[in-house]
Amino acid sequence: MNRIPARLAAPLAATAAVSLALSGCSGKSSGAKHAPAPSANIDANQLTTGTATGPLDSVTWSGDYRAPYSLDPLKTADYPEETILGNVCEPLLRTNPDYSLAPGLAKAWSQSDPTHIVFDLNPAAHFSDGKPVTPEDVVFSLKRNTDPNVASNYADSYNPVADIAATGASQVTITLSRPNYLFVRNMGILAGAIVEKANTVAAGSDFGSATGKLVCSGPFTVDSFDGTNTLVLKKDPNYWDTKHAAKVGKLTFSFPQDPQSFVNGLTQGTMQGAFDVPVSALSALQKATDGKLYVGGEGSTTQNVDLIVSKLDGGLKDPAVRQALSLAIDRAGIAKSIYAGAADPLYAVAGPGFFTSQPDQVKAVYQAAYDKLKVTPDLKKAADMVDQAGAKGKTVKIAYAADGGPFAQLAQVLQQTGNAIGLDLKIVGLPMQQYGSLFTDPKARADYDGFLTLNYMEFPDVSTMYTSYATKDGVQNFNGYDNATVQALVDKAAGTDDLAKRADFATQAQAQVMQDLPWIPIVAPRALVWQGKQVTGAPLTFSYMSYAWGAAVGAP
Amino acid sequence: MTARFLVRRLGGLAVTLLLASMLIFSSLYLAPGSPENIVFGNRTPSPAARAAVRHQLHLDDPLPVRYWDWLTGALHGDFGRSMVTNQQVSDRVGAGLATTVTLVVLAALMIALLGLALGTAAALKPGIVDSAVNVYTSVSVTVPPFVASAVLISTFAVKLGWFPASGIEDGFWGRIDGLILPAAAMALISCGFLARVTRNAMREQLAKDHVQTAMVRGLPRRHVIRRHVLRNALPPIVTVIGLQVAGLFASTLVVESAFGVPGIGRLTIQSVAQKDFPVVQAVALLLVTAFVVANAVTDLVQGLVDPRLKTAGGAV
Repeated sequence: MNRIPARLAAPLAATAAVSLALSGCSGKSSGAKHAPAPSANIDANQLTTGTATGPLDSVTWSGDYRAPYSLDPLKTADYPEETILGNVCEPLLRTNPDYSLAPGLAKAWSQSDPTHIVFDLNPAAHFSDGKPVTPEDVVFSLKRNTDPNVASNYADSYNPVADIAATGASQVTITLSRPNYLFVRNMGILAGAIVEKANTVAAGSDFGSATGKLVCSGPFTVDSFDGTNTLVLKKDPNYWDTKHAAKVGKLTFSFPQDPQSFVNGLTQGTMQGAFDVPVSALSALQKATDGKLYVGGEGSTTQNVDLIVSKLDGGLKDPAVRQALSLAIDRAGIAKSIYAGAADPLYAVAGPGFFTSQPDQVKAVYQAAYDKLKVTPDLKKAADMVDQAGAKGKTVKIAYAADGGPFAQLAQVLQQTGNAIGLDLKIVGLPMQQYGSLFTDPKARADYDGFLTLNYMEFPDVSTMYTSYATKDGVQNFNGYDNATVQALVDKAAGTDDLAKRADFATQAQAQVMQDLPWIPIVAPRALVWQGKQVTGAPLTFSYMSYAWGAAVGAP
Repeated sequence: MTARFLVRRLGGLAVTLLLASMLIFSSLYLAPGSPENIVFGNRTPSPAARAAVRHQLHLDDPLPVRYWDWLTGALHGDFGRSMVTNQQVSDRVGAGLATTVTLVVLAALMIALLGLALGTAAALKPGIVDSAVNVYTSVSVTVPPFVASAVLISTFAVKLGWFPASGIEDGFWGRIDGLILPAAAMALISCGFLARVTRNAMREQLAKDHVQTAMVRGLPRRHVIRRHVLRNALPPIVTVIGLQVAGLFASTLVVESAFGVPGIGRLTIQSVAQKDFPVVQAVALLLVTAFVVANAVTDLVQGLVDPRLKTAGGAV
């Protein structure tokens, strides 16, 4: 869910950005020295760029900041894999561009009681080699998530699962160990991807490697992959669901590393589309005429940039100090200058991106709770809080990925903010590999009080976000935060299928977590999608991270 | 002499490769972090999952054992599998190798042609031509490849649209088309150095007594320049071309990234960042081999163009 932001370096004027953010800190409004911030041009209810009317021979899309490590849908949960692999290995259910679930390999599903989910498979569904998708394949695929030898990146999502079994000739039942109405969402993302058992077993450790054979069900199959530069998908002409068949004969993904090369690829037409456009490319793409840069509004993705507190016994031990730091951060200034306006200040880790897709009444509950958390940066009050906590002059060491992107600038702003309120805030830029090990290795993060991250969730749900980092077993709980009230509330939220009740529980949990601040939210990047004139049909929501979006892309 | 030369060269190559491989292997091993973390992305794996993956990758073996396994494999032509993508290393390196080699060959040709032409012109035409070349060479050696790339892209790809700005197309000509600008980005810089050396070497020869005498005696100027000036000026020129070509493999790393060329440059950078031992080993050894081979070829050519080296026996 977190990503290692070792991506296109942002050649923004670092000093300008920092000084702007600082002038914001001291209460003055940020100057307008920058290019005008991109204004949102996607309607709240516009879910795709349009409807494709005809086929196309070939389309090239940006596969994000690097090539996939593996084609095994379970191996790594990050932007490139999740953007691409849903087109080849469909999950059990489909996720629509509005994040709702829809029938797919399972033609129907029901959760008649809080601990059992029954899936009826579509008898027409077959794999790319023509063999039918059987309950045995489904049980095998889902159970791979719990096998340590597979080391699924989604293993934690299966914590609530007690059993997965075939319960009929075309039926699979998942039994949960406690009431949970949110688990089923995982069947609409790669955590629920279905692979053919026979092929997967035969491939052994070669499964998912660039040269290994992949047999799944999806509108595309893998044509070629060199492991580094290009991944070519081709339309599966025998795909069982003609309504969702691909319109594009060949869908190629390339992975430009250099910001200029990325922009040139898009504006010269060697690439026709890109999700997750880096901030450094914005001004060039806004000027370009051979396509359109779609800019989402506030809450258009679940992406969130946070300071993860990595230990609760160091310089950030006292919650009052964390609150002071959070109060002092000039979120609006950061969003405006470092993110060029393509982000919004974020006052709760699960901000608007996690609830804008809810029905209006439910959304209002979340919005009201969120609005209560909004603060105006107040350096003086924050300095007093640090003083009262007896933390004046205490050392706080924060790590960030030094390989590019906005994190270096963000770290500088945090440093200035921390020092302004009396902390001795030190920042350490780490190379990608070392930064990455902060997430996976407790020893690596023991040296730091916190580190910066860009985080996201595949499906928007407030309580799931807090479960992932603010509960004992949360896979993103890096600091050992444990609060019985929060645990009970998120369990209740997952255990009810009443959306309003869930919102009540989730917002109560949120209030507690945002007071304790095991993570400090900073900004929420907006959806940024580029699409060339020759194509249409791409999704504008973050749903591209989970489904076979490529099937809908075609000629305008 | 040739056989002895070859044996010594090959022996030197083997020792260099062995030392380089040991150095690279152990330096990667000693640097902090571990390749399996890359595979896990950013979710904390369960201890069982981590142990399983470490075992699969043989990361639980001690360094000498792993190095020995790798070395014996490599001697049998098996460079192992990428720890990150689980691909055969030969597949991963092979995919981009042809492109990178084409790029280097193109750039080498451009360097040789442009450098020799500029240098000769400067040597033979004192005054305005010489000064112009002098200015060009002085400026070009100070321009880093990534700046040259940016200028070339904005001029020839974006404004004029003669070449693709990013990536290469299918087929031989598509590949060449996409590689001309990247090759030029490397050549424009390196050829300045070669032009300087060519000019000075030719000037030196032009001032020699036997050249002056030949000119005064009325031998055709073209003949004198070819037989007496260029021929005798060749040894330093060949040395410089050899060094430049050997160094080209390293500059491809920057240029490939700027032009989005799918060669081995990106593979190298990524694999180092990911601590993907087998891939880094293979690529690094390839670069070392290219360097050593380029030097050996340079020495061989030196022997051919300079008969004095032959009579000097084992001097090479």
